[in-house]
Amino acid sequence: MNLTDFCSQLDDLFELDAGTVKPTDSLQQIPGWSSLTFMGLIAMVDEEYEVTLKPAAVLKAASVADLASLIGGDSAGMSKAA
Amino acid sequence: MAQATISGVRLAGITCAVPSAIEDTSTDIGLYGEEEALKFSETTGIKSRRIVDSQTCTSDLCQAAAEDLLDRLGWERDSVDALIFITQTPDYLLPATSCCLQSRLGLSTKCAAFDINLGCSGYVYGMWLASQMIGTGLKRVLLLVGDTPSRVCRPEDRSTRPLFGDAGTATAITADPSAGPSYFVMGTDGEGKNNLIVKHGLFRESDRFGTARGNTAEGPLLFMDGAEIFTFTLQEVPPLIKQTLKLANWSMDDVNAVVMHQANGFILNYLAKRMKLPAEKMPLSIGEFGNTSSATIPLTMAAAMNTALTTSTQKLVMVGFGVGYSWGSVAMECGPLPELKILTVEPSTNSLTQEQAA
Repeated sequence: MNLTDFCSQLDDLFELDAGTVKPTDSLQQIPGWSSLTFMGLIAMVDEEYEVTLKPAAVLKAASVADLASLIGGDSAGMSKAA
Repeated sequence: MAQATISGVRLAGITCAVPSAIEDTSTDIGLYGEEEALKFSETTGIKSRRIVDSQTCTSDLCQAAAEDLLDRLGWERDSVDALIFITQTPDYLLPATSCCLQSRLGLSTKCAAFDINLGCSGYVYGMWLASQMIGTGLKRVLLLVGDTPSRVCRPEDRSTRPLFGDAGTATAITADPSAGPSYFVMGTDGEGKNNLIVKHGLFRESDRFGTARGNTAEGPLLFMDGAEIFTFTLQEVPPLIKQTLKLANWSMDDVNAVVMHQANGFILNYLAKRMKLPAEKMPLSIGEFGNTSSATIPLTMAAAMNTALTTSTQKLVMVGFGVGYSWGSVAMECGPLPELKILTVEPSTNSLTQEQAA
């Protein structure tokens, strides 16, 4: 998982200017975070990384980088897409 | 594993009924502001939904649908062997609303009637139960399925109020030795119970005398965690459809339409993309009617497949999934049917008077 690419994907998802989302950003502080964009995030990770996010694990992630490492590694917070 | 293959049963007709009052994006703009309302509509695909007044119950909508269906099919009232009412918005805690409907519809007192408390998966479960009952010797079953979720939504909850609409449906199921098999697969995961729940109003969260525990003034209102529901959908629905097709020995190429529970447009579009399902194989009604809980599958058949179902035999996969968590799918041939009507029901004048007159 390339962290720069992941931040760029989040820029697209949240319709932000390129380079807005930083690895140290808190997910829920990203402008436009809502229940709908949360579903968008789940869909994007499912499609791009074939991982089905567990929402509770996402909410516990301290930062974008934290979430990226969960998606990219073996973690109890995620599951392989069905 | 809850799987079943049932032959000799035919779906004979469907009528749906929706309230006349419409809420749409302009309503939501007034409640939540233009940007939020338009964003919600764009993401979920919902342009409008039908909303009951405070006097109209799900049973009223289902009764209207049933009266129409029985008349058009020419089913004498005393020929109905069983009535199944599937809802999570019944008239009363007790007695079962199906008993009230037996009387209101003028069915025989020799008719069996019972309620089932299921939502999104309810229609598939209803078809499964009705089919099994026909298999034991009954000839005609009336399946009434619907909900009025607007009556448990907080007006200020922008994740539920603009999502849900109200509807009632009636489906006639009959014994027919020439009818081909229907293939059912069902499942349950109660670990998801808190993600779509009306927590208060009954016994788990109240004291012995029905007073809510603690200091909460919460009435029977809906809570939904959309992200959890979406994750559950991604995990369970594609394998469910795959298992149902395997049981039926069908390929997706054989299927004319996958009639999904209309949870929300974002979920449906993503599921279609994930399963490589072409748009013409996934009929939709969510734009006009919103998420009508247990009624979405028959309402979608009426709203989006009337021409196909009245002129030909269609190979359908119906898929219900959600509250519980509960899920079910059926692969079956359906049609040609009489017109699948959608009635509009005006506000109830006095539901108590109707009950007394029955």
